[in-house]
Amino acid sequence: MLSRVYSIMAARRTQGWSAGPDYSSIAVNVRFGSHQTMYELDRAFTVGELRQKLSADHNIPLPEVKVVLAGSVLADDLTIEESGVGMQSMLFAIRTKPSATTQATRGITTSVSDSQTAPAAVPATTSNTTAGGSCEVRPGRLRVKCSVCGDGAVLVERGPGSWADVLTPGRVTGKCQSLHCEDCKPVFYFKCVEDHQGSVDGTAVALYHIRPNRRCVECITCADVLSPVVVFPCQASHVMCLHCFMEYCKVRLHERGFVQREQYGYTLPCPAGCADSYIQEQHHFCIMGCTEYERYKDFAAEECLLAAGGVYCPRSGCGQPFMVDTPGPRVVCPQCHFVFCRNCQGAVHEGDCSFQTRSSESSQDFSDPERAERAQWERQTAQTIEVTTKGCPGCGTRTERDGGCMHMVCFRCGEEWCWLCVKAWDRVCQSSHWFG
Amino acid sequence: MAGLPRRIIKETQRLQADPVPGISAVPDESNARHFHVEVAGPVKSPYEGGTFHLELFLPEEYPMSAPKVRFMTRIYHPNIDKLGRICLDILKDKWSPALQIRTVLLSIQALLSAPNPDDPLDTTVAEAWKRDELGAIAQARQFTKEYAMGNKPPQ
Repeated sequence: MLSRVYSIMAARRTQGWSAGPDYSSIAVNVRFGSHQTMYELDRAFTVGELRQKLSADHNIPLPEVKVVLAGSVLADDLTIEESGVGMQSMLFAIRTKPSATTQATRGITTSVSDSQTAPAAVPATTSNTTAGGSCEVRPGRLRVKCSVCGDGAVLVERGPGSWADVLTPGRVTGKCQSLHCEDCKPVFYFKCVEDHQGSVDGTAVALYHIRPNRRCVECITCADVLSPVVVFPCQASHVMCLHCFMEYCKVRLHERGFVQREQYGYTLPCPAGCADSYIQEQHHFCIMGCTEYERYKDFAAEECLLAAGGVYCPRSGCGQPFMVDTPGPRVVCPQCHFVFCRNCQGAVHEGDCSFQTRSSESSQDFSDPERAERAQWERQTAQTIEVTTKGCPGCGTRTERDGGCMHMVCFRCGEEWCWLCVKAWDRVCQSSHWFG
Repeated sequence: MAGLPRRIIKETQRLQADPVPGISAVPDESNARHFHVEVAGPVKSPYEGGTFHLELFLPEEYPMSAPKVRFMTRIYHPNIDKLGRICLDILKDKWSPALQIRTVLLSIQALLSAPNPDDPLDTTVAEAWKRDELGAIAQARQFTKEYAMGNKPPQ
């Protein structure tokens, strides 16, 4: 679900956003019951003045009108700018009974403990929409809505005190101001600090490993003191700046060094090798940029499929992923009907697998001219792969060597093998083949 | 040097201000990514009393990729070959950007204290080590005396 939210927002990134700070006024939607009115308000306009306006517009005694944002009643002396409301944001006006006392607050996230305020949020949106354009992390705005009607006119009994309060619905209780809601609870969520005109509901995923570096901790990689930073969930809480985190992710992705963990998906641990240090929310990897993130998702899907016992059709031009429910090495692709050996990924054969030849097309019947032509075209690709790669002696994965020594470690099956002998690494290889 | 990452500057400063006992690493005057390293042979090892010169180079991708390290002084050791190349996992697939020049050099120092003939780079040395450990240690001591004592840093 979350990845869908991100992909929708990413698709709409072309619209960019209108910059906030340069505007002298802010357009704010104020909802009062079923009425919604847009007000163009000066940044210095106070909540008290807005209440007077609402009181006059709706003909309600001033003391009964309250303005609500993110679960709290806003104090009169707060200006619109200070209230944390962004361009095109929604404020909620509620009518209280004359006797009711509602305590006004001056802020919305001030009660979150110091180290955990101002969480960053996806969508990582930039005006740069080219492929591979960098995704920027933006601060998120904490908001609250009713679990039943989805309306923001909710008053919470207290502000969230921790990430658990924010991420677990029901930990903070509150009351929806709608007359029709029963058994509802407040649900916290985040909006991007920037205005996304015309985008989906503006909900953003909280990147809770990213925090402002208030303690001025050095990055474990570059030693710079920057903010915000990624704080790994290890016992030592190792810190990495966003730039190094991006590089770290890209390098590890390139080396196929991510690991599949049941709880967290396809992820990375703290670079210091600490126990229990995996990034627990996959949207953090959006930092790599759109192209790399897409690649990350492909790899993750592949690992997931293979771990679940599925296969990809090895025939070039096909690559269909599917689950295999038949025993034995003989597998038939449901898409192109190519019959292949599950162990070596080559065309089905008698006897032991030979990883040295890749004859996936040899036994094909090309009665279909289009397929025959495509095979011709792809034969060149197959030849290039044949020339530039060698098959892992453990699992047949085509492997390219782009430097370093002859001691290969297969990212897929973990086999240690010799590039020269194309067999398991042994003492002879260790002494004679290390550097070729 | 312009464009030198802060991490390298900080590591260099710390190596000089707070050196690791028995190890010195000084950047080359013309290339701040190239270090001249001296490692003292650990006590109670056949390399004791020797000074081993190494060169260490930080590639452009450092610290995302490992430093390149090589012995310049001849050494009789099962995990170091005739050309001074070192068989050490953290210089290869076990590299992590959280490691530093300091940790690499400490690992190399530890490798001198504890040669591992079961994971050899030079099989001749490794075989000798396994067949006749006392003889191999004597040979290592002889190499140390011959190449690593009173030797000058390579030009």
